[in-house]
Amino acid sequence: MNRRTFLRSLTGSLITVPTMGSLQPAWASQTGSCRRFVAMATRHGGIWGEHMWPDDALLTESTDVGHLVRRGDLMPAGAGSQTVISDVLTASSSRLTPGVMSQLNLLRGLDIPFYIAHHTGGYLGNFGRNDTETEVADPLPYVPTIDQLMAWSDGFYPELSGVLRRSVHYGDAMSWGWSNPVAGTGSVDRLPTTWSAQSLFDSLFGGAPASGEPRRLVVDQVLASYQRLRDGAFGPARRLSSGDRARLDAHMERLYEVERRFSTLGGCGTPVRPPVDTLGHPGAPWGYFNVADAFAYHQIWNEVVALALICGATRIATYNCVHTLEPYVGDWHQEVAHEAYANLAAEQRLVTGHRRFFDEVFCDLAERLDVPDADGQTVLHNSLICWTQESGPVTHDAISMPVITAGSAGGALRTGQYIDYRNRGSTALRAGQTVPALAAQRPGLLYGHWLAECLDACDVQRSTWQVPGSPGYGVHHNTNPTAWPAYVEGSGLLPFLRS
Amino acid sequence: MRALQGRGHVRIPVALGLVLCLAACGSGDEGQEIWAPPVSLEVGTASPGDALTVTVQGLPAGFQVAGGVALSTSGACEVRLLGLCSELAQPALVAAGTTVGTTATVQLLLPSTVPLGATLSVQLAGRRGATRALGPLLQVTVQAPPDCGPAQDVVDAHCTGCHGAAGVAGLDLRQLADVVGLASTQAPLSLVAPGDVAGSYLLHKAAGTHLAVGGGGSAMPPAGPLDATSLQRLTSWVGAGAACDARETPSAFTCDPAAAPSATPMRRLSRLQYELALEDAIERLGGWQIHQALGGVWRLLSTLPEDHADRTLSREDQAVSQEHVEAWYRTAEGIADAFVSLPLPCGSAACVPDFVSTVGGRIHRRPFSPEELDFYLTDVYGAAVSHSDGMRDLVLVWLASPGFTYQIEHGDPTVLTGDPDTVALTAHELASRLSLHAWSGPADDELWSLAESGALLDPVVYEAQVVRLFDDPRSQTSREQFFVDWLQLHDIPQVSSQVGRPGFDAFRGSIDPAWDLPDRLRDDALDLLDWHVRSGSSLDEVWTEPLHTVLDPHVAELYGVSDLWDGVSPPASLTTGHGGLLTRPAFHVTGTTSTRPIRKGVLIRRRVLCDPLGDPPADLGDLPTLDPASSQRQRTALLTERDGTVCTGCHTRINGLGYVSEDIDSLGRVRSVEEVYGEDGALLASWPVDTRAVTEVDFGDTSVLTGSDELAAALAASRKPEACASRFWFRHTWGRLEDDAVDGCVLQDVEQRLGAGDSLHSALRASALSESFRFRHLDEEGSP
Repeated sequence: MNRRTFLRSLTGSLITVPTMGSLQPAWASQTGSCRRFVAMATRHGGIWGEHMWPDDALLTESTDVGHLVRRGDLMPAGAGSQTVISDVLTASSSRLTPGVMSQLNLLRGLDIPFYIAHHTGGYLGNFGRNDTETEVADPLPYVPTIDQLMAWSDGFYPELSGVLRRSVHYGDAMSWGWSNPVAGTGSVDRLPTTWSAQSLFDSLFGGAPASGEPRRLVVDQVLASYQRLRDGAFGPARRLSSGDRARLDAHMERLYEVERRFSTLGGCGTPVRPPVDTLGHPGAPWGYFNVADAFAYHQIWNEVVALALICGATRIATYNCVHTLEPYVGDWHQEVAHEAYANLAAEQRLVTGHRRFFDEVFCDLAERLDVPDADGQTVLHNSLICWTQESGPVTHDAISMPVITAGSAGGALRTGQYIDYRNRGSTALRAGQTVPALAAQRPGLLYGHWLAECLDACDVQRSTWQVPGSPGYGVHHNTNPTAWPAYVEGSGLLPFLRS
Repeated sequence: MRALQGRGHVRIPVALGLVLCLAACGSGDEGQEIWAPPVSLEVGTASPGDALTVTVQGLPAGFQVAGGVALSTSGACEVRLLGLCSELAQPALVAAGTTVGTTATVQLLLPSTVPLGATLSVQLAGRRGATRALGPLLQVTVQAPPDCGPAQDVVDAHCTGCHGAAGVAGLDLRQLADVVGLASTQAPLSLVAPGDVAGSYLLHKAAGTHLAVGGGGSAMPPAGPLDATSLQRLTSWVGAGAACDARETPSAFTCDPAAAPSATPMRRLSRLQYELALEDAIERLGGWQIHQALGGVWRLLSTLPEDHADRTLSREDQAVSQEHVEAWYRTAEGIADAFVSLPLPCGSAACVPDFVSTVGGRIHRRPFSPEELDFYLTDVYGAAVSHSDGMRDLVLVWLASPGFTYQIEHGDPTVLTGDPDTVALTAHELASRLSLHAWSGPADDELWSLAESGALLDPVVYEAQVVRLFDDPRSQTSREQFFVDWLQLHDIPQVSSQVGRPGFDAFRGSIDPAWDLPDRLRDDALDLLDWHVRSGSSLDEVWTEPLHTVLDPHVAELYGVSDLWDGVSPPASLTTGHGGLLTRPAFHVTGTTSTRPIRKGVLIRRRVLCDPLGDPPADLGDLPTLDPASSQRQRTALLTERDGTVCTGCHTRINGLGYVSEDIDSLGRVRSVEEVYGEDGALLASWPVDTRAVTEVDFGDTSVLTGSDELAAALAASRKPEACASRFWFRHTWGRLEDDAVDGCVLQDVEQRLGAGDSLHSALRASALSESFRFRHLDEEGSP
């Protein structure tokens, strides 16, 4: 089933892609803003620079920010049935189309300047969620991830018509948010995720009352039960702690959102549930799989997510992919991921798996979104899709974490670029190393600044998150001022990126 | 093994008991002589695995202490020169003995299996001329080594690979306390000067400023600068005085009855508690007919998030997300709609007040106050346009309101507790807390009626109910959730999808793994645990007893047994080579052809021993290329245990715990040979398995264990598993992390029961019998 056939089946009528705009809510016609944010993450990292990135010859411009940073226009190194940017960044030309290519950015040299190994929170700014947290006396605090700042921001969501869920999350966890997201208070909790595309579909498009009658909401009464309990209206002896009341406050905010969501008419027509689920799928990431099944597995996800994004059922999606996308009969974690930076054969398995991710997951979704939006641009143009890896070229090491993006966030970002932020003259990180991947490590600019750029591009006001003296997003401390001198931390802006 | 360099000595009175040595004590024809008291003894604090210096003064003239020391933990052990006491798995050995005049100094190497707190009997042996002699029995109390906290974790992760047993540059940092105040050999500074960051050479070496203070050599660690977090931890420790407290001794909780437990917000029901409460509510509203009308309540729950138990326990996951709130509402709505689609149990407005107070109260697990009754009758039922709609709305609001989805505990204001912020639970709140803990579900009629009458507040009645609930089969579900969470039995990899791969097919042979093998393996482990609970086994027996509790034919194939247990009779012993719990296939299946000794070791270290492991290294250094035909142990050692790498600091505490069970393959089968297959199914190599390893069950224990049985024995001999189990049970009971300072009474009670060999069953119910279980501590703003 090709994409257009699938969209027809989803909408239950002969709808073709160019007319998808008719399904979109009113906010979609507002111009010049980021309307959709998608964050994707893959595990381990460990891909050598020469396999991850295109040739240096592309870097034709430079500017001095204390050290020279470089950029150039993206151009494929080869085309045909495959469009080639680098070993990893290679995709079917039907997915990595010229339109998608023009919307890409490759960002090299973004560092988290402290230890964060084995993390799931670092992708989107909750650096505290890493494996040292239970091992040290003073772990980093949890902070919300940027997708959740967007999800509850008036800037990103100035109005919510047609929005059935502020954000959706599939795969492993990578998002954290306040227990009371409206007030921005309480504990910072992990957002639940789903492994079932059918369940995700149901949560967006399903949920009719069991009786088949139109839903008659009594959310007000449920809310009243919370409010009265909170206010002590159920009796003078009903003592509560302040923690109890905060919990009830947070719950009531959630109920308001339930009421809003139940009262919202989606703009997605009457989509048809995917006939095959990802949960239990032979291409799912547990156990051995064949690559064709893994491709089909991700097609299901992308079909549901693309539909939800195009018709505005949600504007935020995160996907933490635990799939290796390269079959291996041994112990992948130990024998491939942990060996890759010094073992070419192991690294090539990573390259193959990540190439499939780029092609079959990232570019596939980008291409699905390369359809007209209500403002005359494409949905892809009005989106920001990001793919990040857990580490840079060395597993456990968040130096030079690759960032691949698609979409200009509604024109906020200049696209079609390869940018290298590394300070090539600095050996402050790996002096004396003989392993090529280690010896090649160079400090660059800060990953937290990239996250801040995402928030800026997606209209989240800095006043809602910025900590004085720390221009980037997330907890920050500089462990090596020689590698990351003051100017690196300074402005919080990444050169070449903004339109 | 940690030396006690630079540590202050304490004087310990000498026990005056003499050992009457018979000719049989010695060997050969030499005569025997007994030293006469008095002598005095100086001995350092001794820790398992330590080298202990014993100084004896006042020796009779002519005596030369040459060695020959045996230890006993009881003093009753028969002592033989250079022999062993049978109660000790490993002898204490004399490393050296010197005598100068009437003073003898002896280095004893304590067995690592000596439990903290034990009193050892130490006996010296020597000669006078041709006569062998024994000294008096001396008493030594084993204490915990000092703990330098996060600073020790930093050096363990980054330094002890070289500056540990290898003692590179003559420096051993495995016990940071030993180098506090110790002069550097490179610079005119102390290695660690308490409170003096600038004067501590260790910090200069780590920061790369060592040359500026007159030092030499390279900055440390050699692989690259210490990350700032680690450096900050070291610096903070030095700046704060370089204090090293007694290492946290999990087996020695301190009970402070006056300590108030932490104030925690009301808890939401865990998913299991919610499901069982929902089942109970459905039963009260119409039972199977509602299920039938719904087409299964589980359909409604498909979007309710699972509790997250990867790093914690299910009950510790207290997050309430948008998905929770919406799923709770949708579920309530579905059940309410199904309820009114059936003949209503209350057909008119006249019976609604009774329906609300009886059914609604039970669903909310406590009686409604007059104000609540009024709310439900007036604002919910009364606001609907019809009786049917009103009944629907009542059910919906009940099931979606906080009284159902949270544990609401106001306390009884009429009971004075002596602390304005501590409230005694009402009888209904206590009943609810107890049943949600023991059964993960609401109270049954008996417990409810005792709450109604108030009799439950009678300690005798309450204790009887605790015993009843924990004896009831309904406790199994809750208990199994604990076991699954604690031992991470939810994390068993899928296997069947590997079938068809030549390499895996060659490895599996005739085994045909079921698609649901992970569930079957989990259940197999739970069957064994359940038997232990039902039969009154101790925790030690859980580790050691090779019971045949295999019920599942698919799993039996992995064990290599053809007969199945009947689930009721006392199980026979397995003769397959499998032993206690940790040898069961659930802990060994990896979904690949390779075992994972590191993973096994981490599980035991973190979940059975509750030991911190420190940070994984940021920079692994040069890695070797692995031979695909090498054994898993060889590969693991090559990657993580090479001398001079930062990996060894932690992996020496991890890998050995996994190596000892390398005689069990990644399908849970016992093996004596490890066969290594290529992806094409070719046999690349066969290796005899090597299950000898240093496991360090107790820190500093360098004894070599062979096989899972010896590991099980070491776990049984140590008090750490009991303390660790106590911690995890605490988290399951209260849904939060323990605080040793204020929760010590409960932790100590459970740990001591487990350590004393009480049944697992009785030890686990102890937390519900604790004083703190009947109270709730509110924070300072606890008034409405």
